[in-house]
Amino acid sequence: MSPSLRLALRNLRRSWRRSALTALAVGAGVATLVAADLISRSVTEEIARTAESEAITAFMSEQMNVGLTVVGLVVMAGAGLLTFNAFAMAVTQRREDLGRLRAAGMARRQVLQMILAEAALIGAAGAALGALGGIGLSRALINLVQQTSELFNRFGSPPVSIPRLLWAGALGVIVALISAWFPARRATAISPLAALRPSETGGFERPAHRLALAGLVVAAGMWGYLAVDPPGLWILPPWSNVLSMALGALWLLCLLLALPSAIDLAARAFRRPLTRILGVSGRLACDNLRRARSRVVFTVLTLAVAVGMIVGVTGYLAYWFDELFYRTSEVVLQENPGLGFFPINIDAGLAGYTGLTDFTLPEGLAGEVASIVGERAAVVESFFVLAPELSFLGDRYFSYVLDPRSIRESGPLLFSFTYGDWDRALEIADRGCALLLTPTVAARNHAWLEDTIRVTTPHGSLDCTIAGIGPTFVGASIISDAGIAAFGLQAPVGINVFPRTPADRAAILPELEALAGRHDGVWMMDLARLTEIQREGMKSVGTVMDGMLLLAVFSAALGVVNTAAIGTSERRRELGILRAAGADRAQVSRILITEGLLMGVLGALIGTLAGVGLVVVYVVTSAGAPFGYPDFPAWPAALSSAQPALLRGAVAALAAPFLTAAAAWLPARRAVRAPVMENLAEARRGW
Amino acid sequence: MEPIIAAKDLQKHYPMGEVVVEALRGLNLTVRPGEFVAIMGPSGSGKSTLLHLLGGLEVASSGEVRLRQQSLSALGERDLTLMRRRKIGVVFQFFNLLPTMTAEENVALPLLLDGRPARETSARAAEALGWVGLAERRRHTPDRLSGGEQQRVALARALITRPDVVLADEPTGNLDSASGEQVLDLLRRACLEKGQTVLMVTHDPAAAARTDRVVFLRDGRVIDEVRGPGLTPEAIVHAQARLKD
Repeated sequence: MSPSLRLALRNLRRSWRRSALTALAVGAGVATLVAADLISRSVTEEIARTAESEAITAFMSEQMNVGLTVVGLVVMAGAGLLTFNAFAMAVTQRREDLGRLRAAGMARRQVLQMILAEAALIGAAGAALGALGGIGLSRALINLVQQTSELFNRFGSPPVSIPRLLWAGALGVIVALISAWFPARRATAISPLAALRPSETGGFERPAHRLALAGLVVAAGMWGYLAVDPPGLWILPPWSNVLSMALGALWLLCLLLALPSAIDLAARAFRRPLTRILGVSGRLACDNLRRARSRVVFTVLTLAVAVGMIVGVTGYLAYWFDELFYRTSEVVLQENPGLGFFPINIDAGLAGYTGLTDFTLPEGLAGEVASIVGERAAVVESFFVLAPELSFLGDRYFSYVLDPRSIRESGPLLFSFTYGDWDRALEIADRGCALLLTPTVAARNHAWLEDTIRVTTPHGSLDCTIAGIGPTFVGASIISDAGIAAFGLQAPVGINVFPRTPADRAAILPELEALAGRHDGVWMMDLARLTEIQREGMKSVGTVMDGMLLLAVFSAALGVVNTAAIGTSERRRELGILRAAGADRAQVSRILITEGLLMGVLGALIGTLAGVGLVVVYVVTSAGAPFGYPDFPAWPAALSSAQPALLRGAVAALAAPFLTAAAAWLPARRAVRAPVMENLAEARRGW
Repeated sequence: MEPIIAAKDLQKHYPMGEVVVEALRGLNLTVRPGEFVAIMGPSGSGKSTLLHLLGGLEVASSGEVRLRQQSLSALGERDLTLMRRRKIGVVFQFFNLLPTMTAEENVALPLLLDGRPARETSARAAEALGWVGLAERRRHTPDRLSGGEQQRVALARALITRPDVVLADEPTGNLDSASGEQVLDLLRRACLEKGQTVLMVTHDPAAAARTDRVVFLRDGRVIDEVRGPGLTPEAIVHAQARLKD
């Protein structure tokens, strides 16, 4: 065994708590990535048995996988921050040890190998924990969703994906190595003379206020521009996505530049009130936040990332579900809710799909419905297909095949024009295949009104002309009924009935209910109820994401424990001075716990600011562009989407300080119970 | 006169792996009020351990330490802490000041810990700093003070509560000769002007010669002592040499 590896193992054993916490954080990231894949595949495993049911549900799996994987990557990034911080502090803590090794003849390369070996071993341990934990996490989240969701009440049990396990595990190790790289490089620069000179803990570190000022100025400029000329009112995809990502990154950069100064200013601001409340303990806690800047900044940052994700995802989902998907439908369905005939009991949720082998309505049912309603309602037969070119999200978002004339009669629920008109669209539909799309899908195909898109069908390609661009129901593209033959569709998946007046609705309802009763395997449902179930189901996705994001919070809490512990360990002598001067255990504990509390408050506030800012930037930059809503109220929608996000942030701001104070309590307890002279001794043991 | 400090049959053992180190083996010592006592001995003789036990910084394995007739071993953790805060002042070799506090705040630390009013704390800290000749440096943090100045701040902190005893563990060990002389002068003045009782661990015969009495330790016991007036470094060196025989 090489000396570097032998020493790495010794260091891991010596600092087993730090190593364990870091491995747990890496494990949290790996677990999230493994669980993301399992959960998303389990959504559709049991229900995607027919082409139609797969068309309807495939996007759920894909989007869930994408969304949860992004969450997993963020959790992994948090673990990376924690690992960096832990190794950076460990190198400082072990400065004299490293000096002794160098004095004894250890080469710089060997020092580097030793620390990277520690990181690799921690990463590997985390990967193994995460692989097991991911399976457990997916089960726990699935159970939670099953208990709480009307729609997502049935999940399959897919096998664990070995490629995903390996990929996630490898990423865990790589993140640990990358995070430890810079501290390892710093360790190689430690002089052998460090062994002879005891290191002193530093005084105040002055942050670079100029950087903070620059960040504030840039941020103010950005927000001023967005207030005056929201790009969402004129920009189209894909540029809306590009711009929102760029501005979102700029916002985060500005916050990052301002972070050290914000911590410094907050510490100064809290100093007097905390001194009044807690005495010298409160004052010292505030002073300690202004020292060891990188330790405090990274700890606050780790927390801020976790809270920011929770807040950002909340606002993002609120925007998509409340402002985009159901913007039109909410109004339309309130005024005159339509009715739908379906081959499954939608009220039964995903459980209704189980065992289904035929996902179509009986032949002739549409005719029976039409003969009942006559002129009192528009009847629209719905077919669902998968056409990657027309997918609104990813590659597996369903598209409708609908008769354009029926759509026109049914009102704005299914489609309304932002570009184009019905007369021209119907002309196009009469000539062949016509498409009604959102601007997002049109932009994906680099096409616009009256351009042609070649659509892939099971029986070959189909050239379709874009007949209209505007918001569709839940963003799904609409292919005219020319697609029925092209896709080889036999029978519709749904029959929607749109009464012309409420009186017409009241008149036809009993007969339609009786009609549904006469057919086995046919259910009739109020479309408002359908939409409600869909919205609730989509919000269940939020529940899953929340569960994952709690892991980010958990990882952040581990970060606080780790940095509090290492920080306490670094300052043992100071704690000894206080005890020798007559500070009792409670007073010393209060210093450390108050530091944790303050970091929690700061992390939650900054995270909330980051998350809400990202939501508002995104909404104001893309506005209704993905859907093509005309005159989309960008700022009202942004503020509306920000409200649930802010609420989450407020909860985090209340809860995080307790979490971080509790996380700081354990190392505090250990430090104050040690004898006074043990703390004052020069040699410091590792955490 | 009743002794201000009395150590009786003091023992202290440290487990070091499989070996038990006996730092003190039944040590007896009494100190009168206002005395300036030096404690000398070779490395490992138990000097610093004795000081730590007298200051309540460590707990004896057996035996008793009495400070003004109060037995330290009878005190719980909280009372011992209060004793350290109000009745005992400690000066260390490496100053041990808090880096984020100014000189004034470091001096005032025991009073701040006691929750004394700000006005009283400020006034007494200013007085203590003035007494050690550092009034004009009161707003400086330790990184802006020389070694000698830091040690004088530490001494002011030890004296601010008007303690029963000041314990100084190699107070000049990290100072140049001029700064060391200044600190020793102040310790002497504390005894003369304030009636302070001072115990000082030192390796330096010249520093020991400034005291009223020098106690020699070896192997955890008091083996000899020499008393003033008129102690000289040469006499102390001579006494040390005699003990080696």
